[in-house]
Amino acid sequence: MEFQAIILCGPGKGLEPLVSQFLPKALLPIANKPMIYYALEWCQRAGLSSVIVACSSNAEPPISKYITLGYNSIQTSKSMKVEVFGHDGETGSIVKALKDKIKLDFILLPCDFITDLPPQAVVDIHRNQPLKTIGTGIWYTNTLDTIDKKTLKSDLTIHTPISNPHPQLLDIYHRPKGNDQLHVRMSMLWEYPHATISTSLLESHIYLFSRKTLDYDFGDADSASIITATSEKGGSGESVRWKKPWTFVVRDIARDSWRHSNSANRDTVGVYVVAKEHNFIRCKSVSAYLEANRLILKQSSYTAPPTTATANGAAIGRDSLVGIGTVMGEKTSVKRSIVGADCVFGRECRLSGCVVMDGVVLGDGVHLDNCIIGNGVAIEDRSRLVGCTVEGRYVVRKGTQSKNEILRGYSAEGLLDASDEYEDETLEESDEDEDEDDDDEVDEDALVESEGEGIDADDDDLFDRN
Amino acid sequence: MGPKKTGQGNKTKVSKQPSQQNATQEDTNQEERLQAIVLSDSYQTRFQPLTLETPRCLLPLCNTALLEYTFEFLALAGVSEVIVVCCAHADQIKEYIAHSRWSNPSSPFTIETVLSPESVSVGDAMRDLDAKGLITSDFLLVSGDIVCNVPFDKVLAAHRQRRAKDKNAIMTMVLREASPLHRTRARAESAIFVLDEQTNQCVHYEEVKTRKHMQQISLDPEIFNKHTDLAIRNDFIDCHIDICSPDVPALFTENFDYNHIRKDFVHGILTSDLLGKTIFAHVVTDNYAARVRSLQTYDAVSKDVISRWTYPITPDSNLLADQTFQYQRGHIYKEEDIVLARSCRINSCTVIGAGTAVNDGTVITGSVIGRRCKIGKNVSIQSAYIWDDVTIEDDAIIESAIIANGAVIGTSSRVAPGAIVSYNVKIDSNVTVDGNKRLTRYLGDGHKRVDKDAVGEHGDGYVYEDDSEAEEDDDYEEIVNSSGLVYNMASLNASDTSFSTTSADQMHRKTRRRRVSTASSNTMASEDSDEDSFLREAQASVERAIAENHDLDIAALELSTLRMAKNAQFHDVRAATIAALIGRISHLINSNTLKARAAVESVLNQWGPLFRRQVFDQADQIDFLLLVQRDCTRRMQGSTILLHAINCLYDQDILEEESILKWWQAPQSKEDADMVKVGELVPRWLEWLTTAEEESDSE
Repeated sequence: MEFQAIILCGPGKGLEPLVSQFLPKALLPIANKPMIYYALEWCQRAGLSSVIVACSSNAEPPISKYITLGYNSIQTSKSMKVEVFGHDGETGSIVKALKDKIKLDFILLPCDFITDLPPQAVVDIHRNQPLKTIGTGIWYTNTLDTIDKKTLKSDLTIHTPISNPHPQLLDIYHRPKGNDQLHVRMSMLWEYPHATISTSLLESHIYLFSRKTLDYDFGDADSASIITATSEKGGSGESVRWKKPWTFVVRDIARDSWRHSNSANRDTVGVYVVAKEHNFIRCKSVSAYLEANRLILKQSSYTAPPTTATANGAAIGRDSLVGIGTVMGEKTSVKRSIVGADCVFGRECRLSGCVVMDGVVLGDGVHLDNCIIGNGVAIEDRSRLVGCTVEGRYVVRKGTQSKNEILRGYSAEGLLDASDEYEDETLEESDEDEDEDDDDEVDEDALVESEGEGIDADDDDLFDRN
Repeated sequence: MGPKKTGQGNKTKVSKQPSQQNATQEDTNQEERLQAIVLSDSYQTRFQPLTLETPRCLLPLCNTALLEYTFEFLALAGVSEVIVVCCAHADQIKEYIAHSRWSNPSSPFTIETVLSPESVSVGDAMRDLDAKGLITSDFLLVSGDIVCNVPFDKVLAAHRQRRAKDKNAIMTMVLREASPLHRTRARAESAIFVLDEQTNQCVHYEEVKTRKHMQQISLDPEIFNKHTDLAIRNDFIDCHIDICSPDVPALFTENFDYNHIRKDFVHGILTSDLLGKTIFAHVVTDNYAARVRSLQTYDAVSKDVISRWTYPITPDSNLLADQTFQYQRGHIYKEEDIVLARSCRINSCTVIGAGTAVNDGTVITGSVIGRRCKIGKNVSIQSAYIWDDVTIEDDAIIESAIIANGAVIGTSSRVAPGAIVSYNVKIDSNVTVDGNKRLTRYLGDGHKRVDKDAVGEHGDGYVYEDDSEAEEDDDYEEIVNSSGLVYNMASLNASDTSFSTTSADQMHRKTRRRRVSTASSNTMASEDSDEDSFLREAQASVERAIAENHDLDIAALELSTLRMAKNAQFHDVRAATIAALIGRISHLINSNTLKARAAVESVLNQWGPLFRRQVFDQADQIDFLLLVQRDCTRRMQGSTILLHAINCLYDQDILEEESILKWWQAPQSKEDADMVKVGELVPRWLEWLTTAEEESDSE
């Protein structure tokens, strides 16, 4: 196999309060298996022999632990080498930092995707690209109505028509805010007279790139020096162009395909859009996470293992999954739900469409509908929760009735921003320092930069490289 | 007969919707009559000096008048009624049509010419048509200079389907896909279209200004909420072939500042939130459509016709009854009765008309030669367009030039690429005509002129200079550089950095009044700035509304459209409205129609509500009062008018008491003697106002 994989494990701000510093997003269970399991499994099916798991330095210990003790022990064949790499910084600089470890062309994966798209199909798309295509990105459209639209932040992706034999990425913009206009560069329209702006494409963050991309210097010294001048510091051999989210590194490569008028440097980025018949979910929000759990249950390849729960008179639907050591009380029913290991459910509980993690204790007569219950939560008698998310170790008092709420404890993190974790604006700001994955946030620099170029009409030698 | 095609189309449509048979029956009757409007004038000067003597639509393209290609296309499209709008040289066009086969009883359509001598733009012609009430149903709008072989039934069916669904889909533009630097894409008039990928609805239109270092186009964020996938297209050839609903001329009438069908009308409709009309595009990929709108496209389209891209419209299909062209290998077309010397060489891609004689040793390559031409010995003609009755004497060299009817090129003379030799110009021997020269003999002002430098000692003709254009048109350079027969591709590079920069003041867009194809020098000098022109136009708009007794809403809409088009301030809108209304009042008083008070009340009671959309807060009211006061200073009985106007608008609640008091206290209201004089009656009214106030308070 000519590919190596890099799995980028982000902080998962959109999944709070389910994730915490003790439970990084990569280890959040989907159908009782840590999220990263599915990404690793996907690599395995692709036949890869080397995978690098990149995460922030404080998420490294638990993830390493899982890989060595958990994943490697259940790996179906021992042929795949998995390595954990802790590094803080933008995704672009992480990839650049891995330069010495990447010996082959690489596949960049997020840790939070669930799909029935076979890996072989993706690899073949890249193999069939024309020579000048240095990399291919995968985009998808949301097919599920149940995922909260607000959490699916689609950018404006500009590409050559998808009906072309080899559609190309031309540019990526954020949706203009308010009344700001979108400025499309004329130089692009002369080079690619038929461009399409898609408003519905979502980034899968699966990218297949040639090894030589890592040596990419983004044109000549000219442009580098201009950017260095406006940026903090560009030295140490690493172009500042890499110090940004990977998506923007890709966008810059795409832009270079039409910005240079006569340059030989004409590498392009291919676009592939996941066909509508395949499901593709990225667990970037709580509703997407819930949907991912359901999708796993539906997938035939993940048939539920025979339940080992002690079910004395409890009804567990065939569409549900219950972990080892869970005990259920009389007349309890579980439908379309996933229940983790070592839970204790009281009598006459009703669960439907829920995700219950490990060690949860339910009292008698608890009704849960479309809820996500974190590890070690205790819910006392006759509580009724609909559409709620309960943080790990929280105790729900007797007879609580809640609808569409987030119940969270008084952890230090919770105190800081307990109320506004669902507001996008807050997310974007709090993400700035350590943003590995939710990288389609506003890249202020990039926007300013492109506008600057537009205004500065006399700055001719910026792209003039004959 | 032409309508047959449409008739069949309807039949299938009816059978698809049997439930609506009655409804479609009526439509069918209408649809059977497809009207076409042919704008014979281009409202441009790019073909001058040729068009000083002949209208553009009658210029020959491969020995056939341009208009003939247009009619051929309309016949193929199944049009049953053609209305030709004539402006300049109307008599010639009428004459041509009267003697053409389209006036025969066997013609597939009826043909009618309409004179619109006043019009100086497409907008004027449309307004004229609207006023004449000739348009009854959806119609095809084309100019008289298109060459097109697009089968039209599908386009029409798609348009009608959209119209049936949504009455607001008022227009379908037929656009041909080609590369952005295609030779038939007119440099000066190419544009970027943004279309919805699924529906082909046009959501944005932007003209490409190659000369102006245009770096980017700006899209309104709103469109991304309405459409999922948008195609930005820089690869369309827009021949201005449109299917329009009768709303289109009406909209031109409503928006009297629309002149250009694309940059004013399409742009205006797309950017207007008020109108709610939609425009669609029909993209043609595998047929030919082009418009001859510059010398450069004249050259390109000629070559396309010769190399049969336009089939079945080719020289050997002999569009005119008396033509006898025959096709020979290598795209050579010859009519009967041609005398070719044994040693002359006719190379590929050449058209030669009847009665022409070519002498020994002459080489003709890729050129069009008209009828009855006399071409001497050892002449070299390359990529040139030589019209009828031209005499070319021995050893002349002609490259990439247009030689019009009756011209004479002397022995050993040379016509350089890009030159135009107009009708009956005589070039003496051993003269070189430079590439940028346009020679004519047209006697516009009655004085015979001869430039010996240009045409030689015994020559006849002078160098035509397009001076009127230079003053008026800010696109002058662009047009000159891009309309030449020989276009220098090197100056147009695809990279955005290699466009040469032009002075910044070119960005300033003046009101555009292009002269028609006559070289009269009495053109209106529009030196005034945007602001003045806005005031003038806005005032005219209100005056017309009063005179023609328009609906108040329409008048207000017109004003606000105008305001947005000119990006004017509300202050200016107020000033213009006040000038118009007080002018009207003053007129009523001076003509003794009404007494001052009655005049003020009759005008303001009807038209005062206009100010509701112009005057918002207290500052506006004070500004408004100052404007009224200033305007009254130049009227007879100004003080009376002012008094009654204030009273009247106070009663209408347009002015508040507090604002009136503030205005009266403001120093500007007494800044000079005139202002003080006109305000002499105000204190008494204010007194009444305050006492009235106190009375109502005490109640």
